[in-house]
Amino acid sequence: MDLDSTVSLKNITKIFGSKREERVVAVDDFNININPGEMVTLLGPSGCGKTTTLRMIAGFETPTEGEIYFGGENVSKVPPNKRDTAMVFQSYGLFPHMTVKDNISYGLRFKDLNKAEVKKKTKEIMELVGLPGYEDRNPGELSGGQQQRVALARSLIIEPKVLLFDEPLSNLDAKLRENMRNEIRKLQRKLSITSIYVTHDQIEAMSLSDRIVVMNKGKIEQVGDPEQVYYRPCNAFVADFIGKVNFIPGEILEINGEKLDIQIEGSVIKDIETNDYVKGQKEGELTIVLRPESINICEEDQGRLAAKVIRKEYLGSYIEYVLRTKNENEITVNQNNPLNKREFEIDENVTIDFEKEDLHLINK
Amino acid sequence: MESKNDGITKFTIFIIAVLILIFVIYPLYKVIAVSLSPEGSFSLDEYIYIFSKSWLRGTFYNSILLGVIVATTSTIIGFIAAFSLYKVQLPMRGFFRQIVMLPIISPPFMLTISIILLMGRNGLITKQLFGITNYSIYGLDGLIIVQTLGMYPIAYRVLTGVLSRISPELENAALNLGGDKGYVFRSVTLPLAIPGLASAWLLVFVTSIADFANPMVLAGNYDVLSVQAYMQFTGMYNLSRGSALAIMLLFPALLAFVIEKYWVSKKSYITVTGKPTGAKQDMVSKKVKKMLMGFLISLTAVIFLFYFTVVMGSFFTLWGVDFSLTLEHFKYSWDVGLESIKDTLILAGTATPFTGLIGMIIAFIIVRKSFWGKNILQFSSLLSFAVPGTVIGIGYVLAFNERPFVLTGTAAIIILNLIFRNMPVGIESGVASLKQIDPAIEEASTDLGADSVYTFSKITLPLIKPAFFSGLSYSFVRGMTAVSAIIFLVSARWNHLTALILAQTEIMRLGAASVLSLILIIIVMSVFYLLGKLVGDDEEFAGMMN
Repeated sequence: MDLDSTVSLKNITKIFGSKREERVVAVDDFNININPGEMVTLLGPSGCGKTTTLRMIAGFETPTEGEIYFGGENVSKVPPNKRDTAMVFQSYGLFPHMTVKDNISYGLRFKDLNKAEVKKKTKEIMELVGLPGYEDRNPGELSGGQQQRVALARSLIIEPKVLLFDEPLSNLDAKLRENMRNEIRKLQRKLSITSIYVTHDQIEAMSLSDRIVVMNKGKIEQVGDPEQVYYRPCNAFVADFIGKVNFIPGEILEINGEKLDIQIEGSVIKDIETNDYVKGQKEGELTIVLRPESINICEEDQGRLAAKVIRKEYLGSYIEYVLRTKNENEITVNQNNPLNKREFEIDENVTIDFEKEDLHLINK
Repeated sequence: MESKNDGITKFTIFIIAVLILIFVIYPLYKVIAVSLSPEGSFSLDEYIYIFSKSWLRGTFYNSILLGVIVATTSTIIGFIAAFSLYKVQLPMRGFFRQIVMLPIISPPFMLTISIILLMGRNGLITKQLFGITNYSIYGLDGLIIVQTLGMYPIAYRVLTGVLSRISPELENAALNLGGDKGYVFRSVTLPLAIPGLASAWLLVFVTSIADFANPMVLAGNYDVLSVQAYMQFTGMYNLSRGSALAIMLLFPALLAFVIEKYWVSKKSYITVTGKPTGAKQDMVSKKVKKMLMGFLISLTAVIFLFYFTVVMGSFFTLWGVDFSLTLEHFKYSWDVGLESIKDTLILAGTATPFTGLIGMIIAFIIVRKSFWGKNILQFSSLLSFAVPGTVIGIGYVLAFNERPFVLTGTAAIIILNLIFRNMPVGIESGVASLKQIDPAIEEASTDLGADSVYTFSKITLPLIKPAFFSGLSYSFVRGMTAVSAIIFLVSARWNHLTALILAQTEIMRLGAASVLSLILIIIVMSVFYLLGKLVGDDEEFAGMMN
């Protein structure tokens, strides 16, 4: 592995606007180390600072404070054309007045290569992204997916230390998005290029990333692999942003080392594993995170908590029930593969059941 | 999005700022300074004198009155033409769209020559047709006719932009909800066009009061500011009075420009990025349609009549007296005009590429770069658009007649004047087309290793080629037809064709003036046509012209 392609962001802060009343803190004290060959996603709602962070790595924005390192080298002052990054833009940014071939080989103009080498490399990369035969077309004659491939090839050909993706799939339709997602991941693994990927789509983030950085209001909320951020979110924001989730108020009854006894709506659940996010919390209230697919909907007398069906929606592979408990908490439950299962009706009294291992605790 | 400016960008911004300071701001400052110090120290005496004498005061009112009338008539004609050609399905639309733009490329006083030939003392219509001899075309009437005919295309151009962007869906929706065609026009189309009408009116107003060539020949006793300023400055060599009159001209022009730029255009409902759409169905009744067709045919007939008159004027021995055909005027024009034609081609030809390139560079830094003083730079670079030529001409004489910049009598002063005077249109069209280009395209180039100069020349410039070429052709046309500022700057060594035509017209050598005008039109049209071919879309190209 090429250690040179480590990317480190140290105390990066970006403030837009010079006048005091117009100042916007876009990125606030951002720190991360990205390992060589790693694919890291910056995930967050629009305006969370993820694109600004990416543009600072590319050199299009200058951090107000902090430094950016590629390998051991501080590149904070290096202009974007001298930085060894290549970005795949949301709008592709293809040169409309050049052919596909000229678009792809553009970055090679600034390297010492002869014509034959340029030709060879262009051919190779076009095969790699699956575009042979399109050399002399104009970008305007290509479909969205093909344009995205050209953009990708154009970035890959210069063999950058760091590959940057700015929501590259958001202009594609759903099916194509899935295909391209898989291809990007495959290529990235194959070439093992350090990559930073910006998206607001949690599915995309989970399927692509080694690690996900969840951002909100310019700050990092959580860094972790996809499973961690999905099943072990550090707070309500992360839990809510990634996937559907139920928040159920609970109360700590007793702490036994790493295990907690908790009361939910009057019923007691013993020996729940604690975690870093609630450590140090004394007895009292906290929030239980429970995913809809971890809950079973059962007959009136079978489960842990009593509830009533207030809404239901048939969604093909599952039925989504919205239930109301006796403490007026609304809980969403997914019943997978519903074809031959008992279907519950609106206003019917039911109970819910879950494994205690599926409960995740966060602060209230 | 702000990005860090590299050294070359900073240097470019600095150079542009210095150039604008020297060639736009400094001359204006000189005019103001001289007008305020007739005796060498600060005083308002000159202005007090002008307002105390009714013959001088009157020039101000005359200019304003002429501007108001011509702005109104031009806006009305421009609106009817634009509405007919963009909201109604009429036959031969393409032909009419070309014809109605024609006056914009003729030299400014060609229409004046025509009108003298048609309605002057020996006029074809007045004397020959009706035997009228006691009517004088010289004065307000004549000026209204020639200015309206020459300036309605400005209004037309603004209004086609507005009308073609009012989506037919809106009008169809109104029809669908039960309004009849007349009602839809009054309740939807017209209200949406009001900001455009205001823009058109103000732009024509500025052009009318700044006009020098037509009133110079045709005003008779109807004194206007631009002519009086020239007379005082050049004829009487009264520098401070000429300057003060020029400032009085500058004031209303600038006011109208600022109102248009910063107020009216903000009121527009129409998004400029919207795709222009033609009418899918007629928004008028059959009867109105016939009237509109009649209007277009009449307008075309008048334009043809004026152009044809100049052609005829070139071949008749002595208009109104001896209608035998001759080539005498061509021979004479060749003798007196050849040098001027060469000079003019050199001057306009040299200025054109610089104007185009500087215009695109300024447009680029305005749209893509952020730096301190950007708004000031943008305003100053567009300023010379609003400043009447007379003011600029006087400013250049005052500014570049003494150290550190001694330029009077050189080709340089004329070329520099053409560059900085004609730059704004290139800037405006450059800004408009840059705003439609995704910044990611340029960022991709930078990201892949290109520096800012490479990106500008290989990516940006090719993408804004239509704007670049329209800037080029505009600046060439204006370079060939400029009078009001140039008249102050020509010298024995460097003469300009327009100055020569003006001189010939003044001494009533109308045959020679016609020939020279004709040559000018032919040169302008050929260049215009060639550049149009280069860009491809002729109509859009013509639409970008002003």
